[in-house]
Amino acid sequence: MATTYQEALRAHLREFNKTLPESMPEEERRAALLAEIDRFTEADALKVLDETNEVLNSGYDHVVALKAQGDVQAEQDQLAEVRQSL
Amino acid sequence: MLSFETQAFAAPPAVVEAPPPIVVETKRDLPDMPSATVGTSGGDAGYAFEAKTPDAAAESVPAPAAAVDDVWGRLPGGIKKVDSAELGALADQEAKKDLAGLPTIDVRQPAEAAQAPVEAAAVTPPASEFKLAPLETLPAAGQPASEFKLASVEPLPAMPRPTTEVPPTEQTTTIRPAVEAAPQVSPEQVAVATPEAQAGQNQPPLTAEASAVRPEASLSERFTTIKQELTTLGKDAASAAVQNAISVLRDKTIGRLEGLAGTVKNHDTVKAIVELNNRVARAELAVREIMSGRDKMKGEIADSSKPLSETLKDPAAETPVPAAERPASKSPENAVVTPERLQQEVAAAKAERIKSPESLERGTGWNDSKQMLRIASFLEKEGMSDALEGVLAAKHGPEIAAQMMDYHDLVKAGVESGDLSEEDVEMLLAGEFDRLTSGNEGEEESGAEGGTEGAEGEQAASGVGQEQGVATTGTRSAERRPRRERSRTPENRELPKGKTEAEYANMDLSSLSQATVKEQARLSELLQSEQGLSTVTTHNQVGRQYDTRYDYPEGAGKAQIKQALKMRSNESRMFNLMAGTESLENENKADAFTRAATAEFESDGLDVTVSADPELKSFQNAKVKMIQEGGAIRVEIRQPDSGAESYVGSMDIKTSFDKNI
Repeated sequence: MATTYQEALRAHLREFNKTLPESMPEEERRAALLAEIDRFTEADALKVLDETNEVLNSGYDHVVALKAQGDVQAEQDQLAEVRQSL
Repeated sequence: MLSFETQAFAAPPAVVEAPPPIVVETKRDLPDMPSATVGTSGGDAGYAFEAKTPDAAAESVPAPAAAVDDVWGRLPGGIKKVDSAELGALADQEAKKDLAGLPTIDVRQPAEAAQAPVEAAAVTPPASEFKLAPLETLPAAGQPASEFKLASVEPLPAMPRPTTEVPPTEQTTTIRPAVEAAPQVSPEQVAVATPEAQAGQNQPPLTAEASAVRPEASLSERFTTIKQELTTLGKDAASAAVQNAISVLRDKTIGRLEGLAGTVKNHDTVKAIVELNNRVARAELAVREIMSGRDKMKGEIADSSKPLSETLKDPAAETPVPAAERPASKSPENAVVTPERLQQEVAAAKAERIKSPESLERGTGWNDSKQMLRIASFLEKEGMSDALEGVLAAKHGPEIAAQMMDYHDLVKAGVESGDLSEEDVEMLLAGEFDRLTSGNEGEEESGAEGGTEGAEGEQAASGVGQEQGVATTGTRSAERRPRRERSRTPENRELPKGKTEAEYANMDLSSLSQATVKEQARLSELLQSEQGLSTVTTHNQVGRQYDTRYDYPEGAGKAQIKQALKMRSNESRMFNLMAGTESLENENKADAFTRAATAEFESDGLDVTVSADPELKSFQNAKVKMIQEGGAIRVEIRQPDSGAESYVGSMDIKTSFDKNI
């Protein structure tokens, strides 16, 4: 049931359109739909970006921890080699 | 951490027979250090002494960790303020003392150090303590140590340099804790929240744009690429808020990661960074798709040559499933969930909606179902199944509620078995609710109320007056009463007409079965408005009874509904209080109410301030409405005897009322 974003947006607009008064003139209805497109897509884009920011922020902490662990390991590895060479 | 340069110092050059001496060097010739702070600091190149005045930046020189630790331990208090004249002498004195396991300590000033020969160590220290710079690498006199680079020592030929291409060795695997799996970058988190992802669909494949980050690209190249793409994306974004979010992602979040990546050497860390970079690439792709969809859709909507109905038409409408083929969902024999049946239900629900779109134009269409679905889902997750049925019964009557619960259980089983996605469930439930409520709602909601459901009408409706159908504002028509009575539980509907407010006061309204969805939602809306949440949108202009849509902000929906339910519970307590005061015949009603309310709410640890209008004659027929205003609760008590809008008392409960319930 994969749908493109455009189709998801269309489905949303279909429902949004039903909330508009039936007596609303066509031009006003189109304007309302256009405004809803902006609102809806902006919210979606912000959600994606904010989630990405969150993942990266937590990922940063993880990378720092990995790096520290890797550094310690590298040091231990090198010291072990030095000891062997002495 | 050891950088490559430092690692080179970590072992003695093979040609040096004896280890170099440990050098502790202090800047005791600094003229402007009347009162310096000496101490040590850790860093990539090991420990260093610091001699610092309050006004000057730290002057530090590298020193061996063990020596520093020992000297540090000998300095009382670790960090001690000393006069400049004492500074060098003190360090000399302490450093020259016997340091077990360390070679000769040579304390000298920079100029001396630059010319001094290498002294053979008396004791050969363990290799781990060889972290010294040779004397010739010490900074020259006057040269800030911070600018001095340790150099001129060739790395050991046999020392392998870890690269990103080197896979983790078996040894590293056994030594390291299990950190290969990065929980912060799990596939779930990496998944982009596109509508497809939210519906449980697979991620869209990376397009050529996102694939521009070549698999073999270095970290630097990856960051450069993704930042360039984000820059382009930001230019294409029409919204300032989106542009800002992209800027934050590119400049702050990625910028920080990029800075860290410059010093990363080991495989696992590089891998984690690459994963994060790919996560950004997918996000960038998702936002592009959103923007592309937006532009295309706006183009279609703006195209006046095409009817809107055509533009908004659902492509799936071309293959409707005949309703006759749709299995009944309410009979016991259909309670067995099979994937085939669920699929049929999905298709049938869609077809039903397409076939009779006019049914959705009624007041209780899709939005109403979705709103109820939100509440129902919340209650279900909270383990309040009885309450869920109660809510449904309040709205649709017990028979339909029972059918809905049956269907709800069916769909729930489908979700648990993995046969249904969230989108499927929403479609199924909404479609089923529409079917179940069609006809009933049609006759119930036929009396369109026009604009009378506006703010004024809504406020008056949230109190008991609404329950009784008493026209407190004059906007309620008598046509409402039958529906209200029917929407209540059977026992309530059996109550005789003319039931007094005091009788209502004795009811336990904390029971959800007696609270209508709309009442809860209205209370929630009040809470939201008081809390400055702007996501509540109403569609009262449509003129339908259930025309208010509550878009709870993400993550706050449950809290909001809980607040509403809690308010409802407290309202019930207020009714009970009022009923209790009726028995206090010889006391002032207001005083009695104040005292009782104070005791009641203080027993919950709430900070209560109660004030009731002394003119209050009786609680008989009084109506109560509780409104949360920030951290306080305002209670309005209206007495129809003295005028529909008369305000006869108030109670302020100042508390951090259930912010976290």
